Amino acid sequence: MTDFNALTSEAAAVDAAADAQTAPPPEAEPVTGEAQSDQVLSPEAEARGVIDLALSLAAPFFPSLDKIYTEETKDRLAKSAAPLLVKYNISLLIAKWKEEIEFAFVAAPLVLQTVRAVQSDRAARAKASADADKAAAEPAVQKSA
Amino acid sequence: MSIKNKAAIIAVLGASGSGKSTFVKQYLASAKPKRLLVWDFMREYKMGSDVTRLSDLSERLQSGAGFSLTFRPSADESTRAAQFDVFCGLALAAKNLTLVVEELRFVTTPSRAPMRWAQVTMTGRHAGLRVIGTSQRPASIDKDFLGNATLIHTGRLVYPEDTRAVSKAMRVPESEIDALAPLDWLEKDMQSGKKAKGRITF
Repeated sequence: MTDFNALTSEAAAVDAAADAQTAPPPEAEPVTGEAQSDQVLSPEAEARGVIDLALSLAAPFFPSLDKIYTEETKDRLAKSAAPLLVKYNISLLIAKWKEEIEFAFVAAPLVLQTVRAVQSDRAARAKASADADKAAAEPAVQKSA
Repeated sequence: MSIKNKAAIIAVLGASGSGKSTFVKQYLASAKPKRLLVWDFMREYKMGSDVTRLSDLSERLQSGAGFSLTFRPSADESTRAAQFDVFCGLALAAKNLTLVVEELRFVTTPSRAPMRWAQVTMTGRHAGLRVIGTSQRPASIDKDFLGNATLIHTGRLVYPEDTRAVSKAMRVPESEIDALAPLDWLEKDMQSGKKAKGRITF
């Protein structure tokens, strides 16, 4: 059976590691297919996933966010958010809305590009129409002169 | 005597908001353990002294006959895993205490349990440990813990895989668990097979 003497140095070593906490989180292996749907994510990983998702969706609209949310900032935010995700059961929502989240990942940049393309086309049409009006008006002016 | 007062390992399960923490707090208020040690990842227990360092916890456990200590683990996953193993070792070394582990999902998985946690659940009874473990995702925690539980108490569950896991561990039909309304609970003494139902009141 375990005794206190054997645990003293171990406790001190773990305390030191907790104090330091300088090691970066390990890189997760990419997971695909069936394994992905069965995977149990840690709360930190889930929190980080939400942060990455939100920023990737917002980045095309607000490019300056990249300067604020560095990798270190995102890690710190994820660690501090993890207990809250658990407490309010938000972690479950990520699993529940997985397909919708993946769709949003793909669709959001496309929507942005579509909006910009439509705006560009409208601007081009308006300019062409204005140019045509101007060209049509010029001979009339010359005639009257 | 209530069946929960005899159980050595109590599994308290249920979705978020199903009343797990309330049940545990009411149980502790009723049982009034003289030696209480809580692993409080969720920061939900405000009883006794808060401790964040294992060295301090070791000293406190050795210094007094009676105590009520709440250990607040690190948010960092790898640090927390190391803390949990030593924490369980300290509980075993201290002997004769009530041990509460809040949210097992963050320190165990169905296929992996830290060595000293396994000792707690398999041999802790001989060291006089009464163990209470909670989880809102029972399908994602140490299977041996559910297998060794002498009392399983469950509230409403959301996910079918959790209902299946608890149904299997409790040996009750899934429909009996699915029928639980918010704050309803179902518990079973796994030694006698005796079941009880109720609703959390505040």
